[in-house]
Amino acid sequence: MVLRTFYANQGALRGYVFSATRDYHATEDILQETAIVVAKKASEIDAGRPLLPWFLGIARYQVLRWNRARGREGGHVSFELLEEFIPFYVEFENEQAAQRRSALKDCVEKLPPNQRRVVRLRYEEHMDCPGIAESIGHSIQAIYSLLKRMKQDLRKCVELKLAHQEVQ
Amino acid sequence: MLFREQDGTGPDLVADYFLRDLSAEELEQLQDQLRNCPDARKRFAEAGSQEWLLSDLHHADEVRMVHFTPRRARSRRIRAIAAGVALLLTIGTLYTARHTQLAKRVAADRDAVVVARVADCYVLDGTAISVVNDGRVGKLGPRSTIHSGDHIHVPEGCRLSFTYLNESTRIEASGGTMVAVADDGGAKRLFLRKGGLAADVAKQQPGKPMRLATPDAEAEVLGTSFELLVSGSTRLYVSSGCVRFLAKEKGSWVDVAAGFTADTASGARETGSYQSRRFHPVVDGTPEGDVDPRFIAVDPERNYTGMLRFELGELGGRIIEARLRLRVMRMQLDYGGSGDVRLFIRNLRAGMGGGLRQVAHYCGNVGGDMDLEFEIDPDALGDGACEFQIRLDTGGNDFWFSSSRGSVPPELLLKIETKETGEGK
Repeated sequence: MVLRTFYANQGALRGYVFSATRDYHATEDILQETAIVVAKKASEIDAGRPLLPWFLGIARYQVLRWNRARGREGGHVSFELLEEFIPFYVEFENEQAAQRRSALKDCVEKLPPNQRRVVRLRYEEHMDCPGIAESIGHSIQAIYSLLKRMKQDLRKCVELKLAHQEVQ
Repeated sequence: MLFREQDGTGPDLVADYFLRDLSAEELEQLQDQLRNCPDARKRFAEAGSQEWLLSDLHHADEVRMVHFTPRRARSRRIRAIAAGVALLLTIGTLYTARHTQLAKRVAADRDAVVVARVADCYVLDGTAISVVNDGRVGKLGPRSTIHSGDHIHVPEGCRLSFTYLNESTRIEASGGTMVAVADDGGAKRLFLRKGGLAADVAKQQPGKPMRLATPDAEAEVLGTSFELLVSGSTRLYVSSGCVRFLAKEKGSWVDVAAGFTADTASGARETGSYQSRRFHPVVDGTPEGDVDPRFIAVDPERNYTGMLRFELGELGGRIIEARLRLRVMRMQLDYGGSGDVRLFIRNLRAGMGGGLRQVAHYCGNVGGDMDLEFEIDPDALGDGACEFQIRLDTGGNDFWFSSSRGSVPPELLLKIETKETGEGK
């Protein structure tokens, strides 16, 4: 029961953790760690009580641990504020995201080669903007601008594709 | 609502939050916006999910596990299953790691045919080589048995080798490999979902060849040594004997002889010969630090970066695969056991300005005696000298690799296409 509830809330937890870490791999690791703690303590928990706050508390502790391991002190939007976004995190659920992911994939493939390269460096190689700038010989500001513009275009492209699918 | 700059009056902190670390003042401004402005809240949620999806697009395959429970397969969609399996694996790892009794019971309960035994394994602290069979989860260790139906996951940075019972056939799985093992009436079957296997296969019984499948290829083996790698496409390297190879999309088999390679990217219609070569550095060390010459140290806090220079000479053909292998000798766990290690190449060719370019990246746990292996874009290398720089991201630990004067010198392993080609049969 507890694990089923955990699984049902994975999207919300993923959104919460990712919004704090902004790191894809760290988010998956923290979710795994959270699952371990949940599994370990599942038998001690009253399944009748609301479980999401408990899951969020464990995830929060794991994020703090991750921050400490990285030598970081906070630097993210407060947990209290992030909890208010829980209803929005439905798109972090794999099932919910499937259609959007497919549209985004098509849109990324249509990007010009230089933008695709930046996407690869940023989201596959996990380079930060200064690293990308050094790698391709542009200024850091140019990379920030390019990424923001590109994400704006991708968002438009995805919305158009999804709207088109709805019409069909 | 579109992602946009804020009326051109200042930085879009919502967008910036997902691109860089904000200053304390900027973060406070952003939080004020999120508390008071519904539009900012909406854009924040959208920007976060878009950022996550962009990463997920590039890494989703890495975290999807092999499906193992047929009953659930019929009732749920693949992604839900994958997430469930990941969770179950996690729980299994927890139980097997921390409740030895349960692990023993799980292992003892397994009634599937025992086909092989673990010969050697390397497991990083905090990880486990997981095995799943018919919904039951366990972990593999030295001398564990491997059963028909086992789905094995070797995490990044770990390695596993196992030998089949009553013969010398040996399989080595590298880090990041997912492989399923089965016995089909005495014939060996392997399904390699992801990663790489090196196999040394003893002569098999007549009519019972060993068969290996990947998502886009099949191979049939009677007795030989070879490597099979799955990364987007499937590539086969045969070092002795002969392997029959099928690219599923093309539907016809080719015989790949010793010294030849085939891959599904080329449809396996034509196989090319190759040569394996290994190089040790001519110069290596830690230029910025006063470090024992037996080690190459990388430490962001002391600004230590590692340097390795190789002389490749005249290679005589195109490089089709390049790997740099470093042995971790020591480490300081200032920030836990994981690290972001980046490998850069310095272009030494005339007129290229000697700039650095990232060619590989390892993100994950690191442990003593681990072989850290970087797969390098073959196009980054060529005849003559090449120089690598190794760095750790800020906030990582410091790692000490064996240098060429240490006990396990670094190796640059190249597979080079030679001119001879063979037509598929």
